[in-house]
Amino acid sequence: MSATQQEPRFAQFKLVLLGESAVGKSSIVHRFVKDSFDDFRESTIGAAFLTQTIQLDENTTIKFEIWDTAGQERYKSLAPMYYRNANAAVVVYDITQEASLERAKSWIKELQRQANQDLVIALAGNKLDLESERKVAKEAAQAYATEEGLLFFEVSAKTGQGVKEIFQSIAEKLPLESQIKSKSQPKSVNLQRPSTNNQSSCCS
Amino acid sequence: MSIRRPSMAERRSSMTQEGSLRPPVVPHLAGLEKPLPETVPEACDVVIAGTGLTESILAAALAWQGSSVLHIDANDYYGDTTATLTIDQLKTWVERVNKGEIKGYQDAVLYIPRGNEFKSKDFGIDLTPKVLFCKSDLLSLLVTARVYKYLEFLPLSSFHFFENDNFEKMTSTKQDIFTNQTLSLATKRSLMKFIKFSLDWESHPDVWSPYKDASIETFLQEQFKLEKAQIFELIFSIGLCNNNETHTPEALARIKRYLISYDVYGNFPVMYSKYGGAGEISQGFCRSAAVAGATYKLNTKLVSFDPKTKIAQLSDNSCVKINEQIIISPSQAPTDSKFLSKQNYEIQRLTVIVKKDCTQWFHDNESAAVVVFPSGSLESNNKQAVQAIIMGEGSGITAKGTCVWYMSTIETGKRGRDDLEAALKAMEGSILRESSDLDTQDYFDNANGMLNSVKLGQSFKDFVPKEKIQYILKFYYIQFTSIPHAGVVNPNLYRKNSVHVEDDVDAPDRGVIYSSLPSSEISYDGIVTASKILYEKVVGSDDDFFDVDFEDDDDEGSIANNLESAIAEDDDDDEHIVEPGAAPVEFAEDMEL
Amino acid sequence: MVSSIQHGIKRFHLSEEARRQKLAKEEHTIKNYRALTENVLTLKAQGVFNDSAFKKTTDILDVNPEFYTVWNYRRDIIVNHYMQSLGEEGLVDLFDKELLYNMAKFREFPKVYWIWNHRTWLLENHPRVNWENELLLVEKIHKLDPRNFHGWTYRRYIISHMEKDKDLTLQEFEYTTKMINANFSNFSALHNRTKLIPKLFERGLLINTTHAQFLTKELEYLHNAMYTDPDDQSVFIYLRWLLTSDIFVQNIPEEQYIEFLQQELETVKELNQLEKDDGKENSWCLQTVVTINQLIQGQTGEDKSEEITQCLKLLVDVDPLRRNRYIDLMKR
Repeated sequence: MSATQQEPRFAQFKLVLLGESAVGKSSIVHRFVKDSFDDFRESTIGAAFLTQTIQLDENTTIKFEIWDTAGQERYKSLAPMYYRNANAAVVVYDITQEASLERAKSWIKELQRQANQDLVIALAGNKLDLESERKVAKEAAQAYATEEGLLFFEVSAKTGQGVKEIFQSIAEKLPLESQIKSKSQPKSVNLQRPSTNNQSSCCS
Repeated sequence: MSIRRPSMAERRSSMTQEGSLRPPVVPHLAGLEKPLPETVPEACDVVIAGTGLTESILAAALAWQGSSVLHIDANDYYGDTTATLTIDQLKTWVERVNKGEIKGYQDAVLYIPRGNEFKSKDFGIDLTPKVLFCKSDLLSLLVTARVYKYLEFLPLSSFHFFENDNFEKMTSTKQDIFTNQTLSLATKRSLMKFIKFSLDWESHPDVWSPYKDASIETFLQEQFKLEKAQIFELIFSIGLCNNNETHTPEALARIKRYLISYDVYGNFPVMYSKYGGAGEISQGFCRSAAVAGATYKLNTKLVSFDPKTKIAQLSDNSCVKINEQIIISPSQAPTDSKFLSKQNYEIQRLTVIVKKDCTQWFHDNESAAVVVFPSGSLESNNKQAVQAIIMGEGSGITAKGTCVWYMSTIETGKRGRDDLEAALKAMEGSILRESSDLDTQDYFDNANGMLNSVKLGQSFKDFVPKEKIQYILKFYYIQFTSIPHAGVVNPNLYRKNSVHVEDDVDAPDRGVIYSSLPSSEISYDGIVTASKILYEKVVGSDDDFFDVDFEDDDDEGSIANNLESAIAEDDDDDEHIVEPGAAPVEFAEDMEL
Repeated sequence: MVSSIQHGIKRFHLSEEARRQKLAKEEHTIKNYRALTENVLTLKAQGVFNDSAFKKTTDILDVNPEFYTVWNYRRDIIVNHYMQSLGEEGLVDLFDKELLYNMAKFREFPKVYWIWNHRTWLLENHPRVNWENELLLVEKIHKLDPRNFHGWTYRRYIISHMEKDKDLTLQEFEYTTKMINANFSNFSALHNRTKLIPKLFERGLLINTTHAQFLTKELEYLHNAMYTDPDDQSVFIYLRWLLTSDIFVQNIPEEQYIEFLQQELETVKELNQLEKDDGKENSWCLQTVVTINQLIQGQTGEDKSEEITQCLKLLVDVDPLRRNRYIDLMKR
């Protein structure tokens, strides 16, 4: 039946960003959120986190809540709240800085310790545009990622190369069905939506 | 108060735009574009020590106002006096309290039976358990500041009231009153009439002002002819008052707080944040502050502050030049501090985790309840109420099949502890029993402040619960505060220490402003007020306290508005209008005189 | 930078650039919508019935569910295209999906009549309706908004279909009790009750209950509501219905009926006295006292004009909005 609508599917996921400070994790998100691809809807910039919606297929929309560390990782002061209920993580290193991969590995350990079991982790080597200064071999990082069961990409936040693919691949790997189903469980209160039905109130 | 201090942004003239007091406070791509500073700033506007809720709200407010904020905490976790702790963290906390390392607390006792099957991380115990009224200043602030987006809030509709050794269901809504089988018609009317009055009591001073200095109990008896059962329910459950002598206006304000909160988000008056109460909310405001540019450093303590050079010395051997103020939670006062204000008010807290789900106390699809023991309802003949917040596994703070009971009272000394034990006994009595074995157990006590694994001494045996219900944890402590019980937060509480006292030139806390330790309220009332007062001390005025307008993800709404005009043009067609059927109005008209 | 005061809160607006972007986005959306509307209305005028037109109606209704022309066109497409081309299974599938779509719209816009209208049409033309499902649905709707009038009308519609198999009056009566218990300030629920009570008797569904016994219980139930909230007009309106409806007046012996009236008169007067003691006579009580006195006068011929006039005089003060009406009534 092509004529009728399949019930549209919508799922929201929390994605956290990790990595040493100069590796460009912010610019990767910046690139992802600000670039307007045809099949990407407009992003919104919030006070809380960034959100970006992508259309996975005709009926499926995925919204990412992208949490930046906001600098709290600098003095090892990331709050437990940061990891809580995260569905995906992008851990970024700089292909021109060998130490940054080591740092990324320790973040991945921290994630495996603190976050959900079924967290989808992507390892991303940034600054592909500086190929001539490369210090981290692609094969080495790829091997590590495969061993740990991570998604792996080399990208350039500067040119945009590979950035979209990170998020697309994460979206495809996320447990869409369970997320949609869990929405039907007793839900928390949306503070921005006071009940419109005030009629059974204590004394109306 | 002096003139309002210009914000950081205003002081940077290049950023100031014409026609506006100050530029927009929402940075484009907040928290992303700005390169992070390499180290702790050598100079900042404000240093805040302690990440308790009051201080965290303050940090976020100042950061969004444009001040540069360095927020530190001596602990390796967020939340300080309002933290949510794992069992391991709790053990350390108790040890430190009993060594006198955390000011404002004493006599902490923690009992954990050996060998239970749970992990430390299965639990998140609030040092200051609280519930959030659906209409309250903190709730509005959570929305304005968008901090609610970091949190999950769950409803709590079940308020129990302990009377004659029984838990009574509350009659606080029109529906309850109407369907209640035991109330007389006249009582139904009086009760409903009072409820209506209390929603707008401020506009009817003729009714209550003769009782301005009288107790709420007298007022309800004389003015509304209510009976004791209803009066107690109103005072203790709905009003969450500490005793029946509470003065009429204060009690009316508290009763109204409950009633106006009902049905704001649904059929419940309060909510609580999942995974921990004030501890989670503190983290949320800290993150908000960080997004606005504040710097965070845990495991860092203030060593001293010199009000002349305005340089603060921190425990990690760094120094900070402070342009404006330094604000410290009393719990994080530097060693040998001299200016800590008197903490005159005592709160006793008893927290237990039992191996029972306690779902009989919860409403369907809920996982928490409030239980109140009014004056005189307990075996100990309590003068002050004991208030309890019950949280089951759905609250995210306790393991499957277990339940946390947070009890507190403002009764002091031995009486307070007796009252808490009596309340525990009463709750235990209403839950089915199970036994645990009494082998070797871990306990902490005040004498040596250390973990012990020995056979229990007699004095400790009384503290160990009788084996009627299986305990996972039992935890008692006394907390002090400078905030009067059920009182209004007073700006004088937060005076800056004199910088001219010659006698105390060596005091490490000269010229700092102390915030306050948490009050005895089991709601969040008073916290935003305290943060605002402190904000005013720094900025000069609270006019722009969280005066931010995040026009984020709700653009859909504005598109809808603009579409309206376009849509309006469509609705002029050739279609027939179908009769919408018999309107209810007909039924009403039928009844006219 | 514009700052304005709204609800006493200062608002600092977006930067010029951000605002321009936002406006452009909105303009784009509005332009799209206009073009789409024009397109669909043209297709409708040309009598085009196909998949692509059907999808376009969805796009419009997603934005504007009150556009009844488009709902009508959507039905035309179902009749002229799908009902011609699909077999029974295909149609069941189509109608089920259409019901889902309709419900999704309802959730967003619970007060739009056209959505209900479309739903009833779907049910009339659906090859195999699951009425039980519809009933569950309407209960969900009432949970969200117990007084939604469309919900009540729709419920009666479903019941009338389901009653082809079995009588549901008793079950429906209990349902109104449940809804009234949740909130008795519910005209729609009370209204439904007035429709159900006569049926309960006509269909002999009340075993061993006389009209008088039923009325006694119903009045007791109502007294709880009256005393809980003497300012709630729906309760007094329902009381008046109970005391005047044929089902009771014609089936209760006259003497006993007069006794009911006398008793109610006392109860209402007592309540009014309590109100008066607290400072103000209650206009609903006074109006009801007038009504009951008129009824007694009509039944017994006893002259009640003194009490009636007295109440009307009080009403002039208590309820000044309807002053003239009371003065007019006094003249009679």
